[in-house]
Amino acid sequence: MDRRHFLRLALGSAALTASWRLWSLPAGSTDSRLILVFLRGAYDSLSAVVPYNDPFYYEARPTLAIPRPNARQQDSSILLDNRWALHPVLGDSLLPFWSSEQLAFVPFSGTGFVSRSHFQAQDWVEFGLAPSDKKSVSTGFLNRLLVELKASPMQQRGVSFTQALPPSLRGDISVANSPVRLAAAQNLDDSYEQLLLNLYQGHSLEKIVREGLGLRQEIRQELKEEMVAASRGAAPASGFALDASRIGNIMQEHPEYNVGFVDIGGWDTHNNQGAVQGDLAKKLAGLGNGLDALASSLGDDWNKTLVVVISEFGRTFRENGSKGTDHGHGSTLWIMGGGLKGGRICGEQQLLTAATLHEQRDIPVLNEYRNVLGGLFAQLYGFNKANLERIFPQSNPVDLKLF
Amino acid sequence: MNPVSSPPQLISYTDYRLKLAEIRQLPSDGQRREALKPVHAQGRATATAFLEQSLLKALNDTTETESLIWFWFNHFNVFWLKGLLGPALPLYVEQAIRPHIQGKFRELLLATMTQPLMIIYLDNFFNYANKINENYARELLELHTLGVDGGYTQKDVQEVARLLTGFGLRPLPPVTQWPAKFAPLVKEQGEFMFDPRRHDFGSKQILGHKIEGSGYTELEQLADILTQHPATAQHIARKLCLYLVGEQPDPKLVKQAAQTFSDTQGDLAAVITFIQQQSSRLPAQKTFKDPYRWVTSSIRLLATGRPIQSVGPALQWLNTLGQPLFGRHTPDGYSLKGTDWMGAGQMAQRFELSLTLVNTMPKLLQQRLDAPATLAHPNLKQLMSTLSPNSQTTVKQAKKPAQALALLLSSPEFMYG
Repeated sequence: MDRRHFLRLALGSAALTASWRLWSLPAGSTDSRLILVFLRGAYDSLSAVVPYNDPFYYEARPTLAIPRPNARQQDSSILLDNRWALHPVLGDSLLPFWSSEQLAFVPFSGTGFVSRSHFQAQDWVEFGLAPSDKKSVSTGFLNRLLVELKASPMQQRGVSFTQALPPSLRGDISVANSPVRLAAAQNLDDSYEQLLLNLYQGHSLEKIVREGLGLRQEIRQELKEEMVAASRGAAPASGFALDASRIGNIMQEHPEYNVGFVDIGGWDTHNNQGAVQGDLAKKLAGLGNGLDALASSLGDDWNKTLVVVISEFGRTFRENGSKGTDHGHGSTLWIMGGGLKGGRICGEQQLLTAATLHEQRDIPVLNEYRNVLGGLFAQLYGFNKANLERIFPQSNPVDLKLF
Repeated sequence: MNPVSSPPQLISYTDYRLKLAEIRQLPSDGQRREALKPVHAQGRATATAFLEQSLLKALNDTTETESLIWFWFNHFNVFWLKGLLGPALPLYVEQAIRPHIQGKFRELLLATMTQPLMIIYLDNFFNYANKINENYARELLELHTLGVDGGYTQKDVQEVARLLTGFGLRPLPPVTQWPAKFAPLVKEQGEFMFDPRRHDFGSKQILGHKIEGSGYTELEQLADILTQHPATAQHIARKLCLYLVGEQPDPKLVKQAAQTFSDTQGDLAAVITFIQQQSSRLPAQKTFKDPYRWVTSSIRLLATGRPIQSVGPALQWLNTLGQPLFGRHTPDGYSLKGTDWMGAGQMAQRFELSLTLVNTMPKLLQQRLDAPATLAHPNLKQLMSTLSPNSQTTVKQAKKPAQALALLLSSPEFMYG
């Protein structure tokens, strides 16, 4: 589809002339891109980024702990620094990013509230309000970010590659969403599409209808190009890597989609989660490959992209009775981007012993996620305190010196 | 000519377990993998056949039975694809849910607690004395009874988890000779079994009540405590109001419904009747339809009173719209709030499906869909008269009658109900 057609759908024909001009603006400091990857179900951070120097880790997880780094042994973790190591399945995909400072981890991160309910914690994380204000359900922090970006010349828009619009993107600004895997369906020809637009003219759903039809066509176009590539012998990706490369391609071709969201479910490993191999290892490998695919499909845009990987809470420090882990508190945040000065473990840390665990069972939270994200947004978009306060009320943004 | 391979035979859950247990005895990985394939295919076929039957029943149901089954299944949500438990799905719906939808909440709760599907889905199968897995305990309090703000603590979750130890499945091969001290404590029902060897017989302190270790009866005591708790009354009343009235139920109505729940010891028929009587006096609320409501109401509209003979690809349509029947992965069930379903992607998908639906109706009706006659049917004329002038004009601009039908299904007015 040509861009003109896309814009007609997405913005309405009245807006066409004005926004068409914006497209030709040179890239500036406000064209940074953000992609939030939400791991729903609470991923086990201690298997992904391993505190190999804390003896209590090996005591507390007799069957689940990932072995200490050992260059001569394949089934061991991969050294990151003098305390932390990476799950071996993430080596191929993520180690290059770590080595080139494009990846950082923030352990001991999480929420200022304690909820061990997946659903409540996910909502609260996505609303992003002050821990004391967790009940006033209204808008998501990514939507409030879009509100702050509205005044910038790039007119950033949100996009969610999910079946339903996630709470973090709900709010005053309308946001397009669609899964990137589409069933074969009826093609809507132009004249029929016009009738649909007429049906919703002036209706409160008009905006999302336009957004929806626009994004839909983009994804169909992307799938068509993939088929052409495949017929030329390109190896097809699978799993999250496939989704991620579609997302990267779509965002790369559409600079106006600046704030992206995608989620991956199935991290709730209460039993037989596995260690070096097993269910969790497979999921982690898929995630790593996906992030790798996302970076490459974004091309040069990777240099101005920030990817944050987050989960609603961490899992219990000790393994449970069925070779799994239960709902915990603190977790590890992942930060990636082509322009990052990473390759470091960031934020506050402390020793992990039976005495330092939160409620004798969980990783404590020393780096509230809102403070971490607020600090990143400040750097990424040049926000001042007032901007950040509107996105994350009553937060204290920290500068992790990643830019 | 190649022989046509016959579709997999349906299988009972008991036979399915037996077959899986036999396969586990095979000597090599490769043999086990090969042997599993046809059995898993039977399991999937059994679930799919059940889903088709259920949707067909719901489409032709003129009472509220199937709609309440949907509600209670969603409340006590399980996901049969976790652990490939297809043949356990019909048991769950027919034994645990259907008999109790208008009965006592306590009985419904207990019925779900002893179902293989629930026990495996929420990992209680792995919850033994001194090897605690607290997954089921937490969801039982958070989702099934008290609600997330119902006032329980992490300690309550741990104590409930201890109580739930030993509530599992019949071991295979079966225990032939129980030690004398355990024999009288064993309780079996279908594939469910309370195994005293795995139970923590210490006393428990739950929500201010002390429960002495006695075995199976602890489950009944727990069900009593949870049913009598005011937070459960409030939680169930709120969800029923959301479902039956709309997404902004009058707080007073919720409060009174909760009172009815408490006064009647969780008599669901009484609570439902109360809500329906009270809400009939209030102005009707229009709620954005979830995919299930939009698909079923679309099919019924196009059927104009004729029975649906086959569900055709309708299950697939629900998948496409993000609400597969009895297919929610997470234990919270689907959202009952219409606004949670409203979104750009949802709208675009419904537009595409509207055309598919009209084209596929002959398959569902097993007869031709006469588009002009359908448009002229009183039900559709009635719908047409409720459309805004803008929608009416647009529907009339359709190039052919089938397209007009699709536009009706796509119209903003039909998105709400």
